Amino acid sequence: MQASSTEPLVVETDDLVEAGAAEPAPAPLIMLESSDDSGVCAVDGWCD
Amino acid sequence: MTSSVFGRAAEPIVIDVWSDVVCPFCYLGNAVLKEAVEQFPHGSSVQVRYHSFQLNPGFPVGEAVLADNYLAQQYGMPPAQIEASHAQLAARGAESGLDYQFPRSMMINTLDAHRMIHLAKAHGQELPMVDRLFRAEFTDGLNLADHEVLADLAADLGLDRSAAVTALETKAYEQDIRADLARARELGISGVPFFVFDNKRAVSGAQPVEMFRRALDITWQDRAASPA
Repeated sequence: MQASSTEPLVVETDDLVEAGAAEPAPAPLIMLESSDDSGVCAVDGWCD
Repeated sequence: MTSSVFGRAAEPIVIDVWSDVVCPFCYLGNAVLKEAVEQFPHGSSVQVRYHSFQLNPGFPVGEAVLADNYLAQQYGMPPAQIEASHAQLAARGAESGLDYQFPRSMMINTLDAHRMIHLAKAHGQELPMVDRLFRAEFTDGLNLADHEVLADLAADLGLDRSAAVTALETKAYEQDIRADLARARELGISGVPFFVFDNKRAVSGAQPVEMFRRALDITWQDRAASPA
């Protein structure tokens, strides 16, 4: 699973296991809500 | 860790941060989180760990364009809108001691920059490397797709320059980066910066310092309330 220099890094479902980083499935995170939901850059690269 | 009369409080609060080097809000979030930890009475009991995230994984590796040109082309943003957006963030950044120089910032594929963070992590220099890469991207306008630039930054931090070059040439730390990305997906993270406190509570975005203080306070209270 070695990406070439021109290919994006594609994450596979078993990457956690292969990386030796597998842990029990995490419990759902408790989000601390804010009145301001800005300050985030999304996966499409858009920042708001 | 062995439990003691101090219970779990003897262990550090772990803050896992997902961020990307070309994410301007991540630079701000990094600075604001630091402020919050400095203000926190138990700040010496906080461990911050950075994890890789790629906002633009499809961007060609090794190439670099001015970020403003990329925004204009990719999203059709008029220059005035880009400038207004930058001005707002630059003002917030200045409050935290950051010097955003947006016209110099470059859009790149950050995979190699993330390799440098993992290299630095292996030598106890993770946080200084994160700081240095953000400053290089948003203040210095360096091209972080350039292996020579990345190796120089590693050397500036006291890391072995040749080891950095080797890590870049051999595409080292790929599994570590994949693990970070996979964990982000598992947690449902769709934007950065994203902060997870003790694997339980989360803050999304470059929030005000008060929000991070609240997260730290609640996390500390969680520990006091939980059995040792």
